[in-house]
Amino acid sequence: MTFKLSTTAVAVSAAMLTLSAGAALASDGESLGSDPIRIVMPYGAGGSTDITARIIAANAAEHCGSRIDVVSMPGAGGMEGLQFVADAAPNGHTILMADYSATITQTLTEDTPWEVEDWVPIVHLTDWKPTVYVKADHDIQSIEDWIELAEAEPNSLVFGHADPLSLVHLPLVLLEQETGIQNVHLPTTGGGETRTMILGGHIDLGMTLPPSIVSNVNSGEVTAIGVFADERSDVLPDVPTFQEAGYDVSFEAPLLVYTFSSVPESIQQELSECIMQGLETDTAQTMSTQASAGLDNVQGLESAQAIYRETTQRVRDVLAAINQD
Amino acid sequence: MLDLLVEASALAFHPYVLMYVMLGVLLGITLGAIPGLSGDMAIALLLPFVFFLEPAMAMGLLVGIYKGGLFGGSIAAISFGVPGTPGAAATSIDGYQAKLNGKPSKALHTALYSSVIGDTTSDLVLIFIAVPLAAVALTFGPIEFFALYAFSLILIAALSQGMVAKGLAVAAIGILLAMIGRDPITGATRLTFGMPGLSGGLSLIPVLIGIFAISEVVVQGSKLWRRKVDKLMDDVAEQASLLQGYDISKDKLTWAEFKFTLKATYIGAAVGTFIGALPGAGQSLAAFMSYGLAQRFSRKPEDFGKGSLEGIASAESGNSATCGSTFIPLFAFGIPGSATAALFGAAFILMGMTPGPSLLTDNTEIIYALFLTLIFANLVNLVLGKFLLPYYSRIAMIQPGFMIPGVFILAIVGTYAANNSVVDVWVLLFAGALGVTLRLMSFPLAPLVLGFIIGPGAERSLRQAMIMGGGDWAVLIKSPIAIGFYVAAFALILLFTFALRAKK
Repeated sequence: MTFKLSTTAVAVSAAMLTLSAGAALASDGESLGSDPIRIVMPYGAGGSTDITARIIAANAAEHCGSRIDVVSMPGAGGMEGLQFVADAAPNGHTILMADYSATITQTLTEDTPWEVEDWVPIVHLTDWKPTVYVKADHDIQSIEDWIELAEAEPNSLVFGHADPLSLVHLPLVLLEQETGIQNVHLPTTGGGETRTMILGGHIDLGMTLPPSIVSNVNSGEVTAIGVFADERSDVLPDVPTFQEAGYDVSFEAPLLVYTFSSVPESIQQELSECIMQGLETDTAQTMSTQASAGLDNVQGLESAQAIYRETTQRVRDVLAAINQD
Repeated sequence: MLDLLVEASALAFHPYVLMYVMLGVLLGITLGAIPGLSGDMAIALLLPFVFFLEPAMAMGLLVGIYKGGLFGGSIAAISFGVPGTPGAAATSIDGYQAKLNGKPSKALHTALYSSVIGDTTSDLVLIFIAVPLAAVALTFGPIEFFALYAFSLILIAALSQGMVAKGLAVAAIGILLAMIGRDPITGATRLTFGMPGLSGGLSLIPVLIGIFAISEVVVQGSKLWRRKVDKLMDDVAEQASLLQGYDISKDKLTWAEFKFTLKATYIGAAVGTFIGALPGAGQSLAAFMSYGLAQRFSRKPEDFGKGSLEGIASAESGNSATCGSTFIPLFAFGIPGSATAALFGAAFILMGMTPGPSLLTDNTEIIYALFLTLIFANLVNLVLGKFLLPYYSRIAMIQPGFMIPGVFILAIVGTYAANNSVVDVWVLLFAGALGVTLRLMSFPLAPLVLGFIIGPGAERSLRQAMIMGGGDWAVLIKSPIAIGFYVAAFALILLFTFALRAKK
């Protein structure tokens, strides 16, 4: 869940921050120095982001020339983590790892001291594919079943999702706009609660990411009925995409590493390269497979920034459409 | 099964594993005893090491920390009135009173024994009836959870004997404080007065430590000040003595006293194990519910709140009994039911094991070794605890004049370290002020903490239930389990009212 700095580490990083002027000199302003790099996550520890961050920390450290620490700062709905990275010295030693809810959705819906453009993605780690699933003995066992039932009785099916407007909620909104069906939206505290409710028969459908339910699918407890992606998921290859079923809704969630815009481009480039090098190693790939982290196709700056712009536009469109209702 | 156990023992009882367990327990007890720091933190900090250690050793270390932390929280709770971990909040009610009565060693020993008994019960349940219990846990949806929370609130408000109205009022304040931040359904911020730092709500640690510790620091500090002003002549010898003449040999826990607390311990073990298996319910809820129920069934309920050993035993047992059962949802379905379970889940993944139904069948040897380690760690906890307690008892009796600055600084640093948040430190001070105010007006503090802890869950489950029911209040009694809780709550109120009348 949470990787929390001990009091000693707090004292050490406090000392480091006060010496940041010296650190800036040490890294001569335009290239990455040898001070430790901190990957900040605006989430609690133990989740998919955390595991991916730890894989980076374990493998990219030698390529980036310094130790890499993973810091979890879930405070204030994740805003504290982003604030921390925004306020840090612009030397590339404090970077952010998050999905678009933190950098795009939150920025557009709340009063934040930064704009979407202030976050510069430098590595495109993977794309998470939101997956809809049901209990194995439920009447609905396919996308067609769902649409049929929902059209017959609007607002009768309860759909559980974590966090309103998050990456496991927006695709539902898009699908409902596309098809006109209506479901009851039930926010939960996260993937875990959604799964408990599905398994306990308290709700009809849920949305989550494939690695979370692989084991339940394989043991026959749940059925994954559809993926909101362009292609099928590697870990759930039998699950069709919504596009295959005839509904043109796909909203993958890119997991990106960001620096704040104040960091010089040369450092951004350096960071991007060393992280990618670290992730290409055999150890990293093995860890990624073990943890179903999906890090077999890591892309660099151009890809990351392109997908970020694209996602921003899509989120803007969805938000505009929601606000019109 | 038997040959599996034999193989697993070879793994689990390897000297290095045993060493890591001991190290873990020591770390856990120490960190748990420091307010603001907890076993969870240590587990999170040491997760990277899981990559480099062999699975059995890594498990040994993490398990040791977890269990040590569960007991460690009670040390600060008893010694300073500050729960070292949220789960120890209920322990501090009677624990601190016991210390003020000059009996910290009795209190600490009671806490240790009940902690180990509760923990072992939970581990045995995990090992033998995890799957059926998991199935029961699944039947708890929003409707059932709300009934559970409502039941606990009534139980806890009735805790404060003779002050039920004040107890309810304070619980309501706690719930209100918990509402600061985001609306759980729509995500809109509320009660934040435009301050972005509050948009995530108030964290539990600063509120807990503030209410208990800071207010205690202020109260003790003012007592010292008054003593200095009133008494012109102080006994120099008395001041020089660090321990105020505390004689530990007069403060031993007798066998009779221990037997007397057993009923409370068993209640805690049962309640804690069950609550621990419910995803999201939490250690504090288990502790408070155990405490409340133990009071109901105690032969000396009037002692609760005044240093009752039964009070300590039930709270600690309830708290520690969540240890084994918190793994049940993780093992049965791959769902972490608590932050600790999630951390262990991450550790499993890092070791190449996938939490979920296949965990037991795919990794039988390691999991059996884990079970053995769980039981063994309890033993280590007991032995190490017993060894450390005399020292802790003496520390507990250090004169307030010396202890107060230490507790104050520790509280602030511990709070900051918990979440790297300066906002938390402000919350700590504000909570401290609130705690002082409540104490001055003779309001009980414990219901506020419980209200704060279960407020979010209660609100969320109520609103989720309403969404599911399409806005119809009748949905709340659509479940037999829920009806059961409401009936029990009603019965409790009746019992309590009659008991009160009978006493008069």
